[in-house]
Amino acid sequence: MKRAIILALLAVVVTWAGTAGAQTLTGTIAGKVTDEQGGVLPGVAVTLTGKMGAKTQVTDAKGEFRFLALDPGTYSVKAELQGFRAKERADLDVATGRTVDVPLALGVGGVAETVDVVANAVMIDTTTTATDNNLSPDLLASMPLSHTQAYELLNYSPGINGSSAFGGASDTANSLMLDGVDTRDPSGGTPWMFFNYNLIDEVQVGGIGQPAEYGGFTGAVVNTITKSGGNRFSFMSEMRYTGNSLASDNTSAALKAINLGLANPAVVKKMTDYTVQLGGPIVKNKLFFFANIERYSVRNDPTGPSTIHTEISPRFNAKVTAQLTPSDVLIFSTQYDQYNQTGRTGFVPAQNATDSQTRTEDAPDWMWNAQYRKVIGSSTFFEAKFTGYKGYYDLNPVDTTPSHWDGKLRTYSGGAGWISKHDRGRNQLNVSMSKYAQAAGSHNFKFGVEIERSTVRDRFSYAGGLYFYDWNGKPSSALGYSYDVQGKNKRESFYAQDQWKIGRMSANFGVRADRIGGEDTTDGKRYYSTFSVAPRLGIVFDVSGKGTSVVRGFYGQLYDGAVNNIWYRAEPGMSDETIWDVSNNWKTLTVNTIIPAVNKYTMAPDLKHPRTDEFSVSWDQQLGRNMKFSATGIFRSAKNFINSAMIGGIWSPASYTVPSPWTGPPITYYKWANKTSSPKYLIQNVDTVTYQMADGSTITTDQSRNYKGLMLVLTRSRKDRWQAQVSYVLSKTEGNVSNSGSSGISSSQFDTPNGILINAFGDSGYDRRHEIKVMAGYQIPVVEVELDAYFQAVSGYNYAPTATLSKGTINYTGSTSVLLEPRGSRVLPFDKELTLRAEKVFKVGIHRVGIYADIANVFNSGIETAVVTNVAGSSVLGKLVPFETATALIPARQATLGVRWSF
Amino acid sequence: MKHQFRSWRLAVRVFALALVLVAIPLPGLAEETNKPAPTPGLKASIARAAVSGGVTLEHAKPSAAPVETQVGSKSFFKKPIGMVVLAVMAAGTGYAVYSANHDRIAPTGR
Repeated sequence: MKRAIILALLAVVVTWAGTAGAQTLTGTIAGKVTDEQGGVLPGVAVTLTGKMGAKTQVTDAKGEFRFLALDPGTYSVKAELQGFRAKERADLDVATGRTVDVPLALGVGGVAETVDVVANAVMIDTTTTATDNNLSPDLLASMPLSHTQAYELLNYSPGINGSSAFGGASDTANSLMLDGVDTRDPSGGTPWMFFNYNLIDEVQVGGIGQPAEYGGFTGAVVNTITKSGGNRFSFMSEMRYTGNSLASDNTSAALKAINLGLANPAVVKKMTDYTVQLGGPIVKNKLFFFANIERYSVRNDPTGPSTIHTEISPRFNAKVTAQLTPSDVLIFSTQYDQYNQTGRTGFVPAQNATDSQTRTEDAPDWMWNAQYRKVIGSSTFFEAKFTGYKGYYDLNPVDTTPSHWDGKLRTYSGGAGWISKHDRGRNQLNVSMSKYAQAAGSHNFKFGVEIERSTVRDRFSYAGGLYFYDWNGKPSSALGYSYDVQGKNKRESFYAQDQWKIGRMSANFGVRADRIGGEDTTDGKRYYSTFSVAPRLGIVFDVSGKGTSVVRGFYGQLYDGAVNNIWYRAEPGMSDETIWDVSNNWKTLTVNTIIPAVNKYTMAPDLKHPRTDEFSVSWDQQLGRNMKFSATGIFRSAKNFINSAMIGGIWSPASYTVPSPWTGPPITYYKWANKTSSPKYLIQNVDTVTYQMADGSTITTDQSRNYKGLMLVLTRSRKDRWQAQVSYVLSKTEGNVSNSGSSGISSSQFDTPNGILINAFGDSGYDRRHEIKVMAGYQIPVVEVELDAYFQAVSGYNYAPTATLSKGTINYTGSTSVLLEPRGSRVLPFDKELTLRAEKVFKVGIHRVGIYADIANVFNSGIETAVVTNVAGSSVLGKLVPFETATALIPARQATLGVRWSF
Repeated sequence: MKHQFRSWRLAVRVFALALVLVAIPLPGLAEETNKPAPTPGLKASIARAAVSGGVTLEHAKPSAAPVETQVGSKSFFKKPIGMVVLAVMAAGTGYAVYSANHDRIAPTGR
């Protein structure tokens, strides 16, 4: 604690001494005022008007002005000087982390005022190397995007699918920020906080060319900004509904006959979702409030025998913004989400589970966020944030009797199998300062410090303390273990960066240092300790000199966030694993083996945190006032994989002929030659791993995962009733460590040579070779009906045929799955989905009332998203489902009706 | 452990009450000042720029405050439509609070 306080004080001292911005939530409007001949005009009063009132600056000796720390939104800028005609530029859209350049040329004489409206004009930032993939308020308000998974909005952006961004890991690689709060689960980096779609003001999805202030990601940064109150009262109420009468079935009769698990496809029986929100002034120009309340409820009949799955989430959000002075802003916001579910599956897979073999989930969360922003003059911006959350989720089986798996009959009986409780907490302090300065060009310095303390407690036990492995309806054996692991992530980060602009050229220099530690809260020991220094270097060149054609180049090192999954296996709290022989009608249990948990896993010294190196080159071209084209070439290379590998294992190559129906040649696999009852594993960087063979030789394997991509994006902002964004991404992700789940930080791939030496190199699971995404909207005149469409056509997931080698075959503690062809040798069909929205809009004065219908999967395609990969097939409800039979499809066509009223 | 459960529920109620309290007195609190935004340092800046020469500066004026609309004033909530808005907010908040208390899956072992 004392150390934390010292670090916090150090952070404040460092940032005050220097100059910064952490996970920027604001934007900037800057510009130069000249006369019509180009001569600079100092002393011009420049007034910025936004929803929280007006601010005025006077241009400096170079005729320049700069409004810092602006919330995303629409602003106008007006320049006035005696003897000149005033000029105003209205409807300037400010996005987070972006600088809007507003040159103003004043004409001499007269009193007439020129108002130059630049509504929704495309603006290209000429100073940053970061790609601009913002989901603007226009797109968010009109497009038929998923309302129920607002945290997954990143998947609508180019280059990101299944939460795998530019080849990054799907679980651990993305930084998911909500108003600067890291909303990830500190255990594994997956989304933890859920929130209301209608709460969102803007979503900034970045990933390519990010400056040093953005850390904790090797995939993408999703910066979600929530709405705030202003001088004008704003209100929104929305209700959405869908039910089974609005759903279709996209599972063919043939597939239902082969896979009984799909014979009863999932149906949304009833979904209701309503939101009310109100924002406005408490004290005009000074104090503003915003409140958002949602109740989301859905009742499904899931795939398989179970008939009920429910989720009910009442969510409450409140935000108070105090503009203490024109230069000081204080913001408090909070969210309470009471996320409850029934019908969650456990030990028994979804396609086999009955209602009594499911679990309930109780998962309340509380999030808080306090921010202070201070603008000092027109050149310095200080920001401090204290953010975090606390919550848990508990999973309890409906039937608390032990679960049974019959290996002969391939059936499940008993209850859902296990009980688990998961507590999470996160506290984060960010302090930053930005300073604009002139010295051999202009500089935008930023320095910042972040301190994170997040906690993870996971408790697990089998229902009844064990689960049974039966054989042909009779008892055989049982397995039991439990754990109560309590970890703490400790992270201290520092970054410094500069955008140095000389004429048309901007150089982006930055460096970020992350110190990430992992402790166990019961013994206080440190199990993980890394220190990483990541340079970020970029060049931006304004080709046209007018900001209409810009070329960018970037090199940077990216490091993952702090996740407990890396070291939790080495922490205390794991019980021994007991295997019993079971007889006498499951009444007699005799201990067969006890595998000690103590010291089963240890951490290697001098670990390096998982990292990705990025090279990118991009070109942005403005096409007219409302259209922009960008082309980006990306290369990313993942390093510092962390996984466990057996200590002292000796292996014997052997040949295995995979049984029919597989007809391929025999494979070489590896048997454990020096088997012991309690193997030990070292959690280590596995970029290079050497396996000892029984004949004295060694086999060394070097790991990699590389992403190459070309991303083309055409954006047309809303004008003349239509807007669109069209993108195409051609990419390839290959290597021998997959990007699915948390493969790169915590798996058993290296525990034996069979996971890495047999066909491991190839296309990653989330390698989606071709990706087309289209968002388009058009408002039909006269009838005032808005038609919006989202279409995606993405290459299917990769897979390869697998075979299971029994524990007897490999002489190991358990069976293992091996690849029979190079990773990703086969591809599922193209995922083509069209979602439409038609909305009839009524406008009465300031009021907008919309009645809409969304139709997802318009063509009711039955596209496969997963198949049986085991060549021996898979058991579903006691029936063998053959190799390559579909086990999951995209959701069937479903209509959702909605009505919303706003002003 | 039970104490923690009760504290969650209590927290929800306090939160809901706070929301209602924030929402209802808004019309009274939302002062309509019509004052222009303050412009500290304006004169000094103009003076500095004038000293630097080149331009005659006399009365550079800040822009007027934005025009008030009916949703920018307290009077909005005195109109029927404003009252409807408050009623919708109260109903929505009430239902969510009700749901938070009645749809909750009872925590076990906490």
